[in-house]
Amino acid sequence: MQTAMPTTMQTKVAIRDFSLWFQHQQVLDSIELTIPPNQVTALIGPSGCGKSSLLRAMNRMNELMIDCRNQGQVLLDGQNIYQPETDVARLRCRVGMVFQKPNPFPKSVYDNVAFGLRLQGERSRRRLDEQVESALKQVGLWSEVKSRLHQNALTLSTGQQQRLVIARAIALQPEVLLLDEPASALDPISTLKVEELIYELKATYTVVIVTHNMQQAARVSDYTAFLNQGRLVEWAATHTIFTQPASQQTEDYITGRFG
Amino acid sequence: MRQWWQQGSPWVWLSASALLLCLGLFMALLGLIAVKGMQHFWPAPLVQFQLSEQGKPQLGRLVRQISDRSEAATNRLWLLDRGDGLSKENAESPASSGRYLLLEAQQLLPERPSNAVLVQLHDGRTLYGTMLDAAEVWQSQEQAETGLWLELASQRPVLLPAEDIRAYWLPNQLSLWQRGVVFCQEWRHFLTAAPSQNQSAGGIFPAIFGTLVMVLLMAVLVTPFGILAAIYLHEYAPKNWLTQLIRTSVYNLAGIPSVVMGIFGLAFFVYVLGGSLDRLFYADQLPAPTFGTPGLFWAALTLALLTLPVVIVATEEGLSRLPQAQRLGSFALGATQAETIWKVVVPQAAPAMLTGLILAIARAAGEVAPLMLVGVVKSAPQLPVDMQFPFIHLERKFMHLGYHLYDVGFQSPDAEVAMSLVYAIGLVLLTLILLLNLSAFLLRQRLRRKYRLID
Repeated sequence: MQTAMPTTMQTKVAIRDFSLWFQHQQVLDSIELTIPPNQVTALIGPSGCGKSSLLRAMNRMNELMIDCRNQGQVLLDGQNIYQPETDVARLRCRVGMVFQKPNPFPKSVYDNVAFGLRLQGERSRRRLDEQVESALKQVGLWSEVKSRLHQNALTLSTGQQQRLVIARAIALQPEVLLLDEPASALDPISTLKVEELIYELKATYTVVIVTHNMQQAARVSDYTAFLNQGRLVEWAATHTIFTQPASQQTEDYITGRFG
Repeated sequence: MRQWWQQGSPWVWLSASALLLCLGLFMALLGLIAVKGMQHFWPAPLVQFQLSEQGKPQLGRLVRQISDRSEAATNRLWLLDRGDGLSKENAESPASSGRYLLLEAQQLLPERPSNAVLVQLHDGRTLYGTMLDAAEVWQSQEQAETGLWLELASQRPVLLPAEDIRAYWLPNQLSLWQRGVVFCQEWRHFLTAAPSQNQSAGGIFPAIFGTLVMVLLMAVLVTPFGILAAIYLHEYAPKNWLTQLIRTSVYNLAGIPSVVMGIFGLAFFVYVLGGSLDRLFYADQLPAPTFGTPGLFWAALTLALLTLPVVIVATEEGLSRLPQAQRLGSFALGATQAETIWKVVVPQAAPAMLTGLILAIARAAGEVAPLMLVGVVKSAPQLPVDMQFPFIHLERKFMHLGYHLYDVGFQSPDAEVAMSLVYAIGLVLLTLILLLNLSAFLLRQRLRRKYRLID
């Protein structure tokens, strides 16, 4: 692994010697990665390289899939989230996640955004209203949906739905936001809106994004990690990776010669 | 032709005709039951017949034609209903007693007297006779009682007191409209009255009520159990061979013959559970059993057990159709598994659960065999729900439409002629099941609209 990172940089999430197996197949192999706070880190790599699994490792979503086993540490603010005493539900409030396909609940727009807040025990109507409004404003959806807050969220367009589920995640005011190919199911205009949103979000949150789209990674991210076959091949500032990659594999992938 | 074959058209035709056949059979079934059942209450004209050349003409109702095959020729005979006598003892000779007669065609007289009257008494008897003009009779009789003067076959005129008569009409002079009125009145009586002593007369209200209460109780028992079991099986249980074995066993439970379930209900619910309840809470009334005897609750419980697999299978089906993304979305927002299940999974799988309930109701409302062992009786003196504390009497025996149908059609002495009544009961049972299903169906549609998922 080649890294060209200043050693003094701040750390929000640190992945230390992390390996992951699904049943008997090894998906991740000794990953070492540092996610800096208030920056966008992009995970790129060919299909099946383990980038989504690595993303899910940061809020322990892998264990919901099939039987999986892991080794190593994922430190959030220096705390290993794989400690047995970790409150997983609490962890997932701190580390929010947005999926590839928008998956709003078949409830009203308002209830979708308020879902996580209500789980946290927020009952005050006034505070719910405020937080729903602020979350929708952050994703730029407020003006589009404020007149139909109590309509079914599935009546929104796909792009709006994706911004809605981002709003749903940030309503909880997470520290880290994980985005798993958030724009791959969207049309170009919606993609653009989501990308602008990601750019704005990093002021408040630490963002990790998985993407297939090289241009997207180049546009939105500050750091980029390239994974191949479960290993971290290269990790550097995005500008460095796209202009002077240290590894031949990375260069081949970025220029489209494989993957 | 070759092209027609290659484009797969034969499959379209084959499948379409299979569907058409199904629909046709279904419509035929509904049509037959509806027409025959309706006929039972349509006031048919009364005919006159003579038993012998010099005999007095008597009145009766034709039931149907019967072909009597002897070695020489096939004889067509008429089955005739001449009504109940005024009392059981007044039969003059064994040959002419009995309600139903077989007549040869020449014994029927062509004219249909317009003053022929059909009288329904409150005790369930039906009389056919000739109505006499009250003024005529009053000249000979002094007292002016209210009632109906009736001349029954070869007897002196009698006065039927008004309080004995439930209804009467003159079938041979009714207009179409009046027939319709009589038809509706008789249906209303059929649906709201209790049966009279001989079962094949009177109404079927206790049976309708018993069926309804039993099915609703069954639904109340089976729904929570089935849904919880399916949730555990699908959401919590580890996905291994043991779960798969349990699932397969549950699916196969649906194939157990219902009468076997009835035996189990009798042996376990009634004798073991009911017997223990009696010993614990009703010891002062022993040896007379309270719960240790077939009754409403045990019948509902047996049917709940019978329909449990249906609910489990349908619910699991619904749970597995729910996209995994919905669950993950909930987990990612910091929901625990329980919160995910109750706030996201169950509301969206509710239509499937109702589908299971619909299937369970459809199956349970039509079951008769197990009920004969665990609580249904030919005639129950009391309804299972009344104004007496505790209002729902779970230990009582009850009447059931399906069993009533079986009893009237195949167990009663008049079974041969009660066929039209059987159709009428069948029609009511069918309508009841359809109504139950329809209400569950409408509820399901409402939920579907609420939780519509766009694919």
